[in-house]
Amino acid sequence: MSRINLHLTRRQALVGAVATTSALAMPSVLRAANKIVKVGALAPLTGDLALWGIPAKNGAEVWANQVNKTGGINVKGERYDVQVVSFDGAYVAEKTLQGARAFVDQDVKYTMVIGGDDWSALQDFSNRNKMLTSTLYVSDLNPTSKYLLAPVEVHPFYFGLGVEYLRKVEPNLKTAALCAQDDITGRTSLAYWRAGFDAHGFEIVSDAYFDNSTTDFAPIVSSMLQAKPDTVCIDTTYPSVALLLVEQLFTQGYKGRILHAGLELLPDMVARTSKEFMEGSIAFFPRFDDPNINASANGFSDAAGFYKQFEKQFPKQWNNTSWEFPGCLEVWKQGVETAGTFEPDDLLASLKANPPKHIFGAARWWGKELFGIDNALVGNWPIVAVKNGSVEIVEIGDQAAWFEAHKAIVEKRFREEKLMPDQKR
Amino acid sequence: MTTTLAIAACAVPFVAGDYYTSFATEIAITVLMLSSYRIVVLTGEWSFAHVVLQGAGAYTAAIMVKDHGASFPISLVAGSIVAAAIAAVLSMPLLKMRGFYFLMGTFAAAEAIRLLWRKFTYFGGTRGFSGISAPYFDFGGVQIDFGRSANYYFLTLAVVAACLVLLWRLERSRLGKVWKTIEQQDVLAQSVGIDTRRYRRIAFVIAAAFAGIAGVLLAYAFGSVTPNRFSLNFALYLMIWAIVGGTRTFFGVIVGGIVLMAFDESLRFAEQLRPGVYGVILILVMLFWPQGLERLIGWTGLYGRGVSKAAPVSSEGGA
Repeated sequence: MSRINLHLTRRQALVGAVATTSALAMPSVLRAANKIVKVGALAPLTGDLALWGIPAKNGAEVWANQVNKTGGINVKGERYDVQVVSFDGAYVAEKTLQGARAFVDQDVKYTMVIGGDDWSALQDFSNRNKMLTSTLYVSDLNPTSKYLLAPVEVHPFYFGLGVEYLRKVEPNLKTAALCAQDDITGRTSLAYWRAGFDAHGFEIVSDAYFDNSTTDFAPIVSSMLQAKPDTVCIDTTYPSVALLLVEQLFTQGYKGRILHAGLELLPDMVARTSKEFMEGSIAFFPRFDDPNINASANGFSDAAGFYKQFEKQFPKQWNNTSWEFPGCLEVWKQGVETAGTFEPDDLLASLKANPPKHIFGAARWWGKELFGIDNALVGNWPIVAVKNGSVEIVEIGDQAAWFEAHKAIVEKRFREEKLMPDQKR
Repeated sequence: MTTTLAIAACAVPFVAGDYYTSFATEIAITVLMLSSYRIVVLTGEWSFAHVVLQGAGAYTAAIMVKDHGASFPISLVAGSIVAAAIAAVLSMPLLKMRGFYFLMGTFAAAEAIRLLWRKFTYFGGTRGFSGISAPYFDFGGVQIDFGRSANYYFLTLAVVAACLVLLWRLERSRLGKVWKTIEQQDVLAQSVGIDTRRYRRIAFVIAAAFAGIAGVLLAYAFGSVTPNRFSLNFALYLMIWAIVGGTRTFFGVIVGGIVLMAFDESLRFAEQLRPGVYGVILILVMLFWPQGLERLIGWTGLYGRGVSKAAPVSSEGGA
């Protein structure tokens, strides 16, 4: 073995040490040029709903990396890098509140939740601490939810568009069967679907809730199919439940359209049934590798590029929520840069005065007539259909216009479920 | 030891932020839940209904506050009474069973009650209740807003401490000795004229009364009550904490609750892997210290008077 003799003078050693230290420290010196602003992903990272929470959090991280690479957020000439912090709320209201407390301690400026079951404990805390929060469930809004926005998804307001599309492409369908789990998500969803079916002349022949702990879906599906429906709506059931329901529909010989908001586990559904069985199923969440995505999601900076970056950072983990928290962050960024502040009251006033661009184009603040507060940014929303085992955008619809045309039916169906703000206890 | 714990507990809001203060509040409420649960365990039974009885207290507080504008002390008493009353009714069929059958019976009863909460809008349906305003005391010009997490923490600590003293005294009373006798020598107890079912019923109802108090504290702590918070999942956690802490001594379950909740919290960095890591460590604890943390610490000798390390443990008694 040869031995290398290294002879350095003291000066050479010092210069070498300084050069090495400088090279190592340079990236952090450069990074230190920007200040840091924290945003929070308060989502279920464990349990059944992790399939929504984890892609949402991952998407927020990808978005933050991309924004930071291009100079961060500009607030009155000062640059801020975005740092995403997360907390596992497990989709339990009380745990989510704990997460909100952790975020306030960490000076988080903007919090994102899935919404529904996890929002209920947050409201008072949010008002007390002026915690600007975004939800994906428009039904979380109420007259006192001052700091809560629905800036991207206004679940379940796009379902009406789905039924309208179905009526257009399948004018001969007459009957529908519905089911969902018995919780806020399930009840809100079915209320809106019922309004959709009422509005477009469908007869609801089977309509049932099942308990959250249900694992055997054979009796539920056989009860639905006994009514011989032309179409089956299993929305919004959680991803793993939707998979089991689809499997049962296949096993029990159903032939017809399936409606579900997300079809999150579509590859598994296809694997357990067939491409032919899933063909034509309707959902509302495009993939960002859809060839039309940049034209459709024109309120999102380079949607296709975002998809590529996401796949690079989190291979094969893309899901519907992967772009939803980033969509919320895009709206917030526009607001912050226009208002020139992170301060929630000024930011809210600025957002209201200058409605930001929604992910799917122009939008307006809406919600007062149904929820008592105009905190939902309602714009267009895509309808996707399964084609050859994957989803494709088939139409873009105007959610607000559909609601305006059918609001009496929606309110009637919401009242039946005691979902109106004046009915909440 | 007790003094050190008390000083540490009182120091929390001064050294920790809002989050850790409210987390400490949750730990205090859990300690009360575990200590009251141990009363049922003392009689040789394990129950899935304890968390739902806590829910009964929480729902009572929510209804009292939302519909009747009741004050905190009134809600506290009402929550305790309602939970105890429900337990008294449930005990009639349930206590005809023993061991595994009792456990299954409590599971069925708990699910039935949770179903009632979800189905009837009087109980807020699936959404439950929100906007339960925090207590606000005005003592002759001195006002305390318990909406501040530090203030509510001290209020919780005071209520829990008072309850623990009561539970401690109860265990050392004649009643407590009868419970332990039933757990260890059920047939012998009956042969000397002890009505074991009656004493088990008393334990079940008293435990529920304290669980009701824990429920009221929980409802005010979070300002909301939802049926999901009282699911089987939480009942299982309660059982795990009790087993890992050890149920032979008064302090075993308390240590189990504090250590495991803190431990779970410290694993937050693991994010989605947290339940897996937590599970593996629990398995290791059960493998190497099957009789709970109390045995590891050696507290049975200090506090478990009358319970030797070789004390017989009934098949239902577990740890």
